[in-house]
Amino acid sequence: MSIQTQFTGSTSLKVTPFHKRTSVLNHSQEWRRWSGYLSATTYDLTHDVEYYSIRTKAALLDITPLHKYIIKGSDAGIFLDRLVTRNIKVCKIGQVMYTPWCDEDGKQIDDGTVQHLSENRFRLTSAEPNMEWLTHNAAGLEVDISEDSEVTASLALQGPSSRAILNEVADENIDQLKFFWLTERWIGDIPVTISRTGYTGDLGYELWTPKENALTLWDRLMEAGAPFGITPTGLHALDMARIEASLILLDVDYISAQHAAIDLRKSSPFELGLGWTVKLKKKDFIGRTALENDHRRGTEWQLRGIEIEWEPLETLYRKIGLPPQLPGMAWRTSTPLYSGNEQVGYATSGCWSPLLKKYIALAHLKTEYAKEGTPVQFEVKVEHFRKTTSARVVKTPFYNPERKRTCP
Amino acid sequence: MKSFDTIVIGGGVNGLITAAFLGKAGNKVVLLEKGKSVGGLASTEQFAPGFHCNSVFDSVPWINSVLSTDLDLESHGFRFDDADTALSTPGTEGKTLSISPDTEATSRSIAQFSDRDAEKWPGFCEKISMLTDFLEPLYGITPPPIPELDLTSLLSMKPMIKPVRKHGRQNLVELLRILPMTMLELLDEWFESEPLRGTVAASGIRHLNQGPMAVGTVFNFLHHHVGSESICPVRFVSGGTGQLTDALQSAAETAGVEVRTKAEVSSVMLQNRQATGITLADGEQLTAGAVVSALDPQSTFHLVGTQNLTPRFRRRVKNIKFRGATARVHFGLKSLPQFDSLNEKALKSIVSISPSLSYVESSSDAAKYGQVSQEPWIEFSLPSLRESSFAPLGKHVLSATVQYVPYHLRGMDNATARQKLRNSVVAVLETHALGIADLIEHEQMLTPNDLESKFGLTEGNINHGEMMLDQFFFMRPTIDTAQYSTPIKNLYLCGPGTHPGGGLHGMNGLNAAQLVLKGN
Repeated sequence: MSIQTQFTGSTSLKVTPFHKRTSVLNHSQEWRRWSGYLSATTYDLTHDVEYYSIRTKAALLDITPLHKYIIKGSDAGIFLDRLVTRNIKVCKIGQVMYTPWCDEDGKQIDDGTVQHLSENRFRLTSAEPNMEWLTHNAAGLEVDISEDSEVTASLALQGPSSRAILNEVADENIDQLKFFWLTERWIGDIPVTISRTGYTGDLGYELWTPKENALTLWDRLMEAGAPFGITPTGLHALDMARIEASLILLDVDYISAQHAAIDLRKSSPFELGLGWTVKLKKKDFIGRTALENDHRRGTEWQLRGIEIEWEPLETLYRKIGLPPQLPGMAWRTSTPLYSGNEQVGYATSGCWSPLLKKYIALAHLKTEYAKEGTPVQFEVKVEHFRKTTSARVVKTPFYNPERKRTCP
Repeated sequence: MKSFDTIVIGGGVNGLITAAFLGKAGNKVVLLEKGKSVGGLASTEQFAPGFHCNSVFDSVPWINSVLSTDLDLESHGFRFDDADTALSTPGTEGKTLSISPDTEATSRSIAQFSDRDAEKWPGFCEKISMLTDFLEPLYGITPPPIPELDLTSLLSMKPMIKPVRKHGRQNLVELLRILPMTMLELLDEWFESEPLRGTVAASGIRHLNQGPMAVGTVFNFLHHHVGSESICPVRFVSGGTGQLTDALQSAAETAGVEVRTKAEVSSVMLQNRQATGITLADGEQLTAGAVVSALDPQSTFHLVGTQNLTPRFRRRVKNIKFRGATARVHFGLKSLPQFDSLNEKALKSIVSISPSLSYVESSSDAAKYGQVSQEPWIEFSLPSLRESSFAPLGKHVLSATVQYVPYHLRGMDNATARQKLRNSVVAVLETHALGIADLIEHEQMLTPNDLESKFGLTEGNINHGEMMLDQFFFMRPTIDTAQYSTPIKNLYLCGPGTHPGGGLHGMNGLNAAQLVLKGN
């Protein structure tokens, strides 16, 4: 039995344009602060159903708190090309690029997507506020940068049924929308930008619309999605999905160079597994010289996926008469990794993957221990006592279904 | 495309000096000046039909002797006019304080106000001279690169050994004690009479946005005394300040420098973060192995294009403090005004309206709130008494330097500030020369906003960046450009925005020329 209610507790946090709906649906009343907004962690009393909806049905997530900027003007493309590591000059209208950006020492500040919306008009998403850095670097260029977070409402529709649901509601079929491309569609009388992007590593879309349309869009999706099992989904399930997809999270898997207290805490994209995004052929972008050095000399650290082996873990627990204790949710506590007596790295986030039936984690490893298959020892607390158990470096993403990038 | 060894941007004192020295060293040099003649802040110009003035500087307290000897400026028509130079301050009861290079005469003048101060005056002069002895060799050094300090750059500090030997370590410590002090604190250690305290204090706030109760004003005071032999030094250039830059132009041209006027640079050309030349406003392009800018750092990097700077450097340039608060006023007068307590000898030199230290401090209060001082510190001169050619027969010119008129105004536009400036100056002058307002035939008011547009000075700062301790030596203009070179290869700075700072002493241009020659 449940009582239908909106969340009415007093809060200093902002609420998104979907709050009227999400607050009624959030049975657990569990919220987290996300960029100053109240954001649902789990709608149900546990997050399992939401997790499985990402992988087997369709999950609907309110991602409005994501920082968004509209960048326009005759130098918008040049500006972004100098700002980020990827080559924005080849980003066609309708294309989306995932990219990090760095300070001039080549240390990563943030990562997000660049959406090429129309001629000289882009949207940039980021994990943290970037307005100061953007405007500072726009000096001397014909660029207008504006906050989009308060203007645009955004939803993520993720999971194998997401395409079918959108085909039900959109004015035109989106079957041919390719991975990391976007399109303008009408859903009823609402204009919506649909990008085939997401943070789950599954087939999925993100929807962007002026915030006045938020509730209509939500209702339309929930209505059309019902037969497909559409499920409002919170951040707990998302966190597991993004670990399975090996997508890093700022302030969890790395610290922004903008606020790292010491240099040691800063990372180059080459250390975060993002070397593929660094286009050294580009003549000039912020951090280029330093990144060229990183590329030439190699870096001391590498971000990798590790899998904690089952048998040794089971043995550890069996000794004290318990079955293996597995994390029900994603964790984000730095956990030491050893080779013999030497600490050779640390895991920054991990979870039990219910789908893969594997215990996985994202980890920073010294380069000499980062090769696929390298065995490492993972620290685990067994009934209050610190032990180590076998893990090994594996290929990422842990989960990478073909449907993520294919078109029917 | 014409090609040169070096292009110098800006035809003020420092630009001319750099060009002249590079020309003398055999470089093929072109100097580009936006205005219709060279001179910049050291110009003499006609501001109304028949009326001439020294645009910004009436007095040139110090020029490095290397300049006059190496460039043989005298043969190019430059000489000092040191007759009857004194700084006068009208005090109370018709008494006038007169500070001149003659220490005894100055002591006698001070005695009108305080016997104790008169006794102390020679000691004060010695002390200041000792302190500036430390700074003088420092001014000829290219600052060492900090934090990448190495042995070679430490060795460049060698000239500092001499003053330390001469005055001892204790006096070096004394310099370090005094340098960050306020003028109030320094003067509290020495003097009691208000006209003296006000006038000496005013010498420490020249071209600053702060008053004499602000930290670091002693540094600015010492800066204005480096190279001079007396306190509150006054020196005139015979024929007007513009004669100095005219002589420098002549010396530069003799050294083979091509001086082009009405040549405004619109951008510095870059190739792979290297300066390769410049583009003029009319579209002409000139190439060169080195481009040296005498403009202030912000104006210089504006020509490079701020988008071409790295984020960190762009931030450093942006953070340079300018905040001009000095205005210039020129009046064309129908006849010689009658001052209550100032004779013609005083008027043909420099007069400071600084009856007390708190008067000067109070005038600085307005600047904090973006307002124009109602009772400003005014330093004025009647140059037409010295140079009869400055005004038609029987008529006169009064030129004043006025603080404080802030660049960043609150609640008023520049036209209003200009009007307020005029009202304040006329009101103060009227208290000393009744009826002067009626003598004004012509006038020119230059607020910091006007100085910015007229001379291309960022925020109207005459020193191309405030002379404060955090913008001194290896931090001037920024920590990575203090060696006259810049992150843009082959682009150099030589203006007062560099070490050792503002004034017409020419050390910036001289140091920069030496560095460019080394770089070549």
